[in-house]
Amino acid sequence: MFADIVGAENCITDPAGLRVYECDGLTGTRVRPAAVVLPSTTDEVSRCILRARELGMAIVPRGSGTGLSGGALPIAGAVVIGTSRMRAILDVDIENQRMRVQPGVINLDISKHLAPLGYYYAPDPSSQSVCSIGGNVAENSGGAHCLKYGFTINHVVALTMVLASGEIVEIGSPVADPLGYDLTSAVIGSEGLLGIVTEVVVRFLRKPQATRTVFATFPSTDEAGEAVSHIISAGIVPAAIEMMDKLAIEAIVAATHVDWPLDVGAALLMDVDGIAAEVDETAQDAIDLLRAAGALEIRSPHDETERQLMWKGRKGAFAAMGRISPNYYVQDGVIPRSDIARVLREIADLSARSGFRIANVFHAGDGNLHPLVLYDARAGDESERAEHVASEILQICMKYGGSITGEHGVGADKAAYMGEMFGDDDLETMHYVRCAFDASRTFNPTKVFPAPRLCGDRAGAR
Amino acid sequence: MHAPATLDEASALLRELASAQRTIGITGGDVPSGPAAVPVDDVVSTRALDGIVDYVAADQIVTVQAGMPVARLQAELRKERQRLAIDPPAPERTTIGGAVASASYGPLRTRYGTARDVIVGMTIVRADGTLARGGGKVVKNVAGFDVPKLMVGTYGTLAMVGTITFRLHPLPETWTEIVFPGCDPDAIRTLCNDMTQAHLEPSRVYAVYDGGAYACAVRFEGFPAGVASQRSTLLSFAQRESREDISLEDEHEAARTRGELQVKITAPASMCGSMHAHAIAPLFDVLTGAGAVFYPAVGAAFVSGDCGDAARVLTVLSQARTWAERAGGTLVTTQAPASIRTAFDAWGTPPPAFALMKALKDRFDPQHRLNPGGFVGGI
Repeated sequence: MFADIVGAENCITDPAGLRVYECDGLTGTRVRPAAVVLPSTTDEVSRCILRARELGMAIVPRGSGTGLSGGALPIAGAVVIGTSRMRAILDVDIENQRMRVQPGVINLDISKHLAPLGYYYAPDPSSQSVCSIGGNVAENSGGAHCLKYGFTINHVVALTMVLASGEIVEIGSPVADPLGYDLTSAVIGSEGLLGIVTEVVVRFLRKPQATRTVFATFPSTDEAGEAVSHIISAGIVPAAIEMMDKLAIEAIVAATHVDWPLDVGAALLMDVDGIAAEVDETAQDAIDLLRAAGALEIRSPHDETERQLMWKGRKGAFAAMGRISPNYYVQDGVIPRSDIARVLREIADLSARSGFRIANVFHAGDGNLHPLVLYDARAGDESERAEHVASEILQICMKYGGSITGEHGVGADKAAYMGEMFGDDDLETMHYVRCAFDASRTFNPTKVFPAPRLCGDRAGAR
Repeated sequence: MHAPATLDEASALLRELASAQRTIGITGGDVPSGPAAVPVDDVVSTRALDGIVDYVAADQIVTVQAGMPVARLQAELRKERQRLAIDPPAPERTTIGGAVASASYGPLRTRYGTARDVIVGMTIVRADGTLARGGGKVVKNVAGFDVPKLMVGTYGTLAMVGTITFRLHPLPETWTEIVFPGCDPDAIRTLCNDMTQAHLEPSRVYAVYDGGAYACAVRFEGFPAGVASQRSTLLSFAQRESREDISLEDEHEAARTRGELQVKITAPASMCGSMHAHAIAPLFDVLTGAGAVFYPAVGAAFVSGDCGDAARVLTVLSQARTWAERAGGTLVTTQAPASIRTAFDAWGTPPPAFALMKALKDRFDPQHRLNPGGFVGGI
């Protein structure tokens, strides 16, 4: 089907080869695509898109496949276009702090490439050692440090993308204030519905002068939540401030051998970065506030190795759940920060009522919760019931005026909730954007929107 | 002129104007402005939509109506020791909606970016009168397409901005501003590069041109220890005259707001020297009562003044635009007298993705009634 474009070795159609691509990070749902193609140039992507359209196939774009909402979940009969072979760093402009890369470049590799020169790329999703920048663009990925530094959308300035027509377009600019509509904002976070991005220009930052990391434990999430509120209201903007509850700490300790105490109710892991003199001052202020809020123990790592270990513990939290439960369902919801304590209590009630253990690991600074519903898939209908419990958590988020997803995306997993968070008119407006880019709805046709919508062909008639 | 006082009134009004097939210009004041202000049947002002809808200081989130002047919002936020981290010129008369629709910014962009970087939600009134919401009231949110950010800089050509939800920043505890007089473009560039090398984090860097040299202002904000440390680091490597007893605020504001012609030029930040030689200086020289400012970390300059000899001004504008576009940047006349406007396109060469932009316009405003012809490429 596509072998003449990408070479037979990069066109997968055999069942064994396709199995790898049946799902992304949302492993509970699997669909076998008709084919997977792995192009290596923008031109090949364009030709693959045209071929797929000739064959009447839907297209599912895919980066590293680490997404947690099924954005890269195949659709039956569709072709998956993967960007994993497009891994070249194309240009680095140190003085203007811009770097042009292919979409398959791994997030962390950008920072690694820049590290000898003292620069880095700010967005740091937990999966940063395996996730690709193209996937980050599709999902508008964040990470622990987006509290201070923002998300992918704040750090990507230009894109090359291929549209459903096969046309290759340049969007945005490495230079300030490109003319016209801000299409970059439309494409970033569009979850593969608008086209396939084949080049990404990122803005990178100078490494901060200093970073101080503080780890603190608390009797319960109430005190930890209060500490976060006090730090933020003191005018401190930590680079990151992460909370883990008792169950999460247990799992992390079991999986990573960090020497965190187990007899506590919650822990905070915080980075303060910036100008050295200021960091020392604000870290001390933050420590005083942690203590005043009832911290049991406060630690700072002795060296960079210990600091990395602490963050490894936090970033490996999801996977660590495997140590304390056969299966777990990762939820991703957002609430206003000041409601953290109330929402955590509601989640605890939900846990008691449903009988499911729920671990909480989250970005406390911006109210982005990641409750993990623990279950055993072998036990009767636990999978379905756990999923139901996870969906109730989203209802709680929406009740508090929050969001159904802070960073994992809507994908296939949460399309049904879009109609609850947004009204029909809101969704119709988003649909305008989709139709402007891809009226044929070739890309990821079943994702994000709760019900099929046609684009109509009369728009623009005048 | 119509001045709806609620979003529902705005919705009903736009619905009515839609059924009457009227063209519409949207403004925060009395008359629509913008690079290519064109005649319209009806003017809709957001002046009666000028309040705070919701402000939760603990969450550092505010929702405001589009017609609220920037300065009034900042005054309210200051009571909670917070601010909206954008500083467009003329904050007393610039409305929040206007700042968003024109993607207007000041030197604080050095550190905090533009409106798009602080917007988390929006309610728009579509061309057909429908109210639609995007984003939310939490900082982190990836549910659905980011329609709110897409609205930034659209000059009322896609929809009317009704309310906007922003993330806020704490007001810095202290700040200091150091002025380096007598700089040439290379000295400014060196200063910026040295600050980057030293890991300094200035919140604003801007330079005011007086026809001979630039005075460059660098501001540090934050907690006292950090501000003091950055100040002394900067003074240690900037081996040149510095002043801390003067402010360039007034000259900056004048160059951004005065004059019948106002021009914005962008180019890669590294090309500061040629930007001066090919755009800033020639424009400054040809205009009467000219003012010019330059944001070196952004790669943007603003030149303003009166036209006098329009023919000569047109020649210089064309040459400067040719240079800017070759450099990968732009030259936009954000305000121009009729003598210039009729002969010189306000925006310049439409970008490569122009067909997509037209497609967006067709979806949002199929009859092309919102500020028709007021945007890039005649959109």
